[in-house]
Amino acid sequence: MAQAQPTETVHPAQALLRVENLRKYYPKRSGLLQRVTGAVKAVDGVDFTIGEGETLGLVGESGCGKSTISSMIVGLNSPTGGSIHFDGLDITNLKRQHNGKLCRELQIVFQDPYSSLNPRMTIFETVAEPLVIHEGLAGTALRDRVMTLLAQVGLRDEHAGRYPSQFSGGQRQRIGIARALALNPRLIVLDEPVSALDVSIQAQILNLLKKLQRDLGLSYLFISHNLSVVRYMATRIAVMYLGRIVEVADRETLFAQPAHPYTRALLSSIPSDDPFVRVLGDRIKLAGDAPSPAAPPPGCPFHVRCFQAQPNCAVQVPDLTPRGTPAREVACHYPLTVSPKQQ
Amino acid sequence: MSTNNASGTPADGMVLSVRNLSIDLVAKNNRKSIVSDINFDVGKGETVCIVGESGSGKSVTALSLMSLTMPPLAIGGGEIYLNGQNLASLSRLERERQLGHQIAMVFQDPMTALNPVMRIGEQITESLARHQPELSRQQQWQRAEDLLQLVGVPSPRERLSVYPHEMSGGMRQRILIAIALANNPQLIIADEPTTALDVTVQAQVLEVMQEACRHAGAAILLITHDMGVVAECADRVFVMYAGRIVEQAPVTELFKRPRHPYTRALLDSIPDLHSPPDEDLSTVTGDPPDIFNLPSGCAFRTRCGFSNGRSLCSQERPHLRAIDRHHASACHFAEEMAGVDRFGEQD
Ligand SMILES: Nc1ncnc2c1ncn2[C@@H]1O[C@H](COP(=O)(O)OP(=O)(O)OP(=O)(O)O)[C@@H](O)[C@H]1O
Ligand SMILES: Nc1ncnc2c1ncn2[C@@H]1O[C@H](COP(=O)(O)OP(=O)(O)O)[C@@H](O)[C@H]1O
Ligand code: SF4
Ligand code: SF4
Ligand SMILES: [Mg+2]
Ligand SMILES: [Mg+2]
Repeated sequence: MAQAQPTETVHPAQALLRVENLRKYYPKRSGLLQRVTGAVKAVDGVDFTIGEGETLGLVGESGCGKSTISSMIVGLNSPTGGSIHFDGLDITNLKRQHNGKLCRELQIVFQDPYSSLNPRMTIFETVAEPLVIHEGLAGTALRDRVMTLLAQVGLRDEHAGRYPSQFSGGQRQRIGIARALALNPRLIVLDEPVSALDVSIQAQILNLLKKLQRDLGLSYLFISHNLSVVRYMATRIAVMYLGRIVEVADRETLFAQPAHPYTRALLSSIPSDDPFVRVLGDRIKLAGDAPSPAAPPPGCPFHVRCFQAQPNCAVQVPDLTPRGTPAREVACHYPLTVSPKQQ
Repeated sequence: MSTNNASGTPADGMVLSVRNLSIDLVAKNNRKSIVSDINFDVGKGETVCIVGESGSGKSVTALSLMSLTMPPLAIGGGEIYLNGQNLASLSRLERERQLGHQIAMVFQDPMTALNPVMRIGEQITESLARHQPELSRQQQWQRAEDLLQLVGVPSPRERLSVYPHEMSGGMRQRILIAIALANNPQLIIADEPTTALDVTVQAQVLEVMQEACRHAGAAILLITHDMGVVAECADRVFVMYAGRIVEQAPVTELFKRPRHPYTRALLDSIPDLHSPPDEDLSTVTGDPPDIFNLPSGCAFRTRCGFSNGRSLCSQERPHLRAIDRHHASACHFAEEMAGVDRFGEQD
């Protein structure tokens, strides 16, 4: 059964974004002279697609490469290798500021609503800036568009003249979203958009993002380390570990039957929402700490911590491979829904 | 055990009792309270969680318990009893000695709490030497190794000679817990100890902290904004809003039958593994309160979905009061919430 050809694919029929074998190696420096002595493999061969109107969730622990991927997609960071196609166009090496399509159709909202807004610009100026630069809007046309955008994210006209310091974290994140929406984007990269917000405010922003997606047909790459939040937002979820995607599946499949040992361990570490049913005592306990991307282990990057590892795991790198029904992709020689004997 | 005792005397057998505590922001010619009417007890070996949104006063309350309140903040009034002894009645030196012995603190960011240029072993033995001068040097190092073992640090002997930056965040947090436990305190105050950590590491650190405290018989006062951490760890919970405790209850009671509209709204707004993805999340409407510009009456009034504009809510500030033996709420209409049961029928 294990080797049966997959009958379904996890990929959308029409990909708006296609990422293939994407890599980013940073120079590793050491010693007094800070000579380059190797590479930090922040992203090491990542493939995924995002369909029109779809939300792909990207989860993984801090340092696994999520933000590096998002910065390469929006053209703020140049890849070491691989390719990124957006709406059929190869944007792998396009600089953001040199390409009108990229500037308009691909936007990003950052985690920190405190540092991502210019403190010396009013809210009006912040939201108007892309409209002035890329659409040459001015006067009443500009004013009307900005006010419409502010209303869309739940801000009022009187907010327009104020500065970021006069707003709460949740309101600042709304401003960041209004700015991202200004040029009618098709894909928005949301890199931990609610992680810096109070829990009481997170739900407001998540609802807003869902409503905007419904109304405007947006696609999202939704990055978070909070699995419950990703489950709520994304229809398909990719799990990263140490610069690679180790599993991709639709939400229901991933949460009900995680196939990669790391996914299983990650899910078992989510605290309970019910004090009558505490779960952490029964979690899968991983050995040791996550290795550094500057010195990834040979073979499967997870093998030093994996409860399922076999001798060949230390030698052979498992590729992200389609596996059975329901459709999913797993980078593991011995995925959990398939017993090792059957291989 | 009584949940709320504002009578000005400590309850019997409590490690920590706080009565009518307030903390002020002191400016040149005025004082404003940012935390008020704090009353609670922590029993031996209990895990008590304080939850609340950013700015609600969790950290300043915790720091004041350790006499670490710094200008422009100052304790405005009230008493803190450690094992029944009023801290204000002690000399400064004796107070510091008592606090150092009985209470230890663990902060969110272990890097700022550890000395970056000192090896782990030296940091632990230094603390031991200060509080337990009777230990020989060899006993100190043995105890340091045992402590690392207790908090699940692998190869503890070797780890004694590394520097903080050579360790991961989760490992550093365990070192802080080891240092906190070094002098056998009766209470550990942990302010967001796992907020900066990933879920797998968070689970490890919470387990290590609870196991080690159970082993040492220490109580934990755990500050967090993560309701999952509360559900997993707490025996009892205090919910803070705008500088006051608005609800106090055993954890199962609080989750099953919240008796304050803020607690209820907070619990309902958090996406969990059962939230239907096709439905909107319920939200706490409005923005977090501005502590210097609170609404009259109940501070939660402008965001409350339960008040229905009733005049009592704007006219009178609700005080924390017992609803039943173990449950206290600061809502005028707490009794009306009795029928609400978040988990449905499952007694
Ligand atoms: N040094 C200070 N000077 C002035 N105001 C302060 C100071 N420290 C804290 N405050 C104020 O006191 C209130 C309570 O702050 P505190 O740090 O206790 O919040 P918290 O509940 O711990 O929040 P968080 O979840 O963000 O850690 C806030 O309004 C804060 O702005
Ligand atoms: N500019 C940089 N120079 C060197 N290393 C970097 C740089 N940016 C990120 N890294 C490293 O790349 C890895 C992935 O980082 P990042 O993408 O920010 O992770 P995440 O967003 O998943 O937390 C980390 O080990 C990080 O330290
Ligand atoms: S390939 Fe081997 S080591 Fe890697 S996750 Fe699968 S079983 Fe574990
Ligand atoms: S006192 Fe009134 S405003 Fe305050 S929480 Fe209760 S119902 Fe809401
Ligand atoms: Mg990141
Ligand atoms: Mg705090």
